[in-house]
Amino acid sequence: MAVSRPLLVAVACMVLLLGSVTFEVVFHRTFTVEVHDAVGWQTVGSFGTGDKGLRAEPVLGTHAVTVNRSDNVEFRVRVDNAYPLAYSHSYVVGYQGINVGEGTLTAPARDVGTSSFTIPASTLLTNVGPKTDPRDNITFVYFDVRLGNIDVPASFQLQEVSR
Amino acid sequence: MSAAPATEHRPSFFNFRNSIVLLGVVITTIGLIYFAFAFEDIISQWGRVIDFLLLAIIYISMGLHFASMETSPELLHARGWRWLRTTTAFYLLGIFGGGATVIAFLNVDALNRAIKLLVVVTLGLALILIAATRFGKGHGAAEQ
Repeated sequence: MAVSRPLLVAVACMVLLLGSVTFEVVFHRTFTVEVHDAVGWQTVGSFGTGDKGLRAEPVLGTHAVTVNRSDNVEFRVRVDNAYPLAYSHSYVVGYQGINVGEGTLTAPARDVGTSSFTIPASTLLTNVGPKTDPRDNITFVYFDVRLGNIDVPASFQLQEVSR
Repeated sequence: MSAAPATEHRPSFFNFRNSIVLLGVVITTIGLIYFAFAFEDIISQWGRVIDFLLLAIIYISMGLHFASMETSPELLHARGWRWLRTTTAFYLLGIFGGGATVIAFLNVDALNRAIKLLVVVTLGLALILIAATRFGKGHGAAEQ
């Protein structure tokens, strides 16, 4: 088979395509949202980990975060920046259609960056979403952290210790 | 040209070669669609534009390559499907790839919508004008 010029172009583009996809897979950013509880930082949402199927999915916490209604729940958004370029982007936290937090997430090249924010527990406990047995005082909380076109959904269980 | 006798032996719709080529076309199309969606959290928006563009160039180059070397046998001997040859299959995949490139480009959030519209419309018009003026009739594998 003669090697024609179009065939050479196709082979060159195939090599470039493989290189491009490999670059993106090796050097990409993953985002996680974590909540702080008595145990430590617990992941409640992620984006870009590559094992979540077609869309980013919230990670349900293994146990409920217990709070008093007067507490502030502490969160942090974290970026694992594998790119050889630094990352910086503002974010907003959306909860039931309103912005309840905002900030800027930055990370040096090939490094990790975090940014913390808090949401009053009283705000989260007014969630109109599903609740378990009222005796448990557990509320399922869903919110989103939006960084430009990236949407990191997060969810966890919030338990009020006293009323 | 005399009419073909009714008892003329007609080749079957599919033979082994054509079936494999068609299977390749189907698999490649599925792969293209899968690539568009399954890696959206890993491949960046600009990366997707570049990848689809490279795929489109690969398909069109393969079509040009086959156009220059083969006798263009039909893949389907059915009425209305005789245009489907290996070369045209590659050109079609190239068109799908080009369309996917444009869609991926329009989904790049970093660019202003007006700029994206301007680029896409200009590119489309340029392609039409260049193809209509530079390439003569009968240029290409779709020629019957």
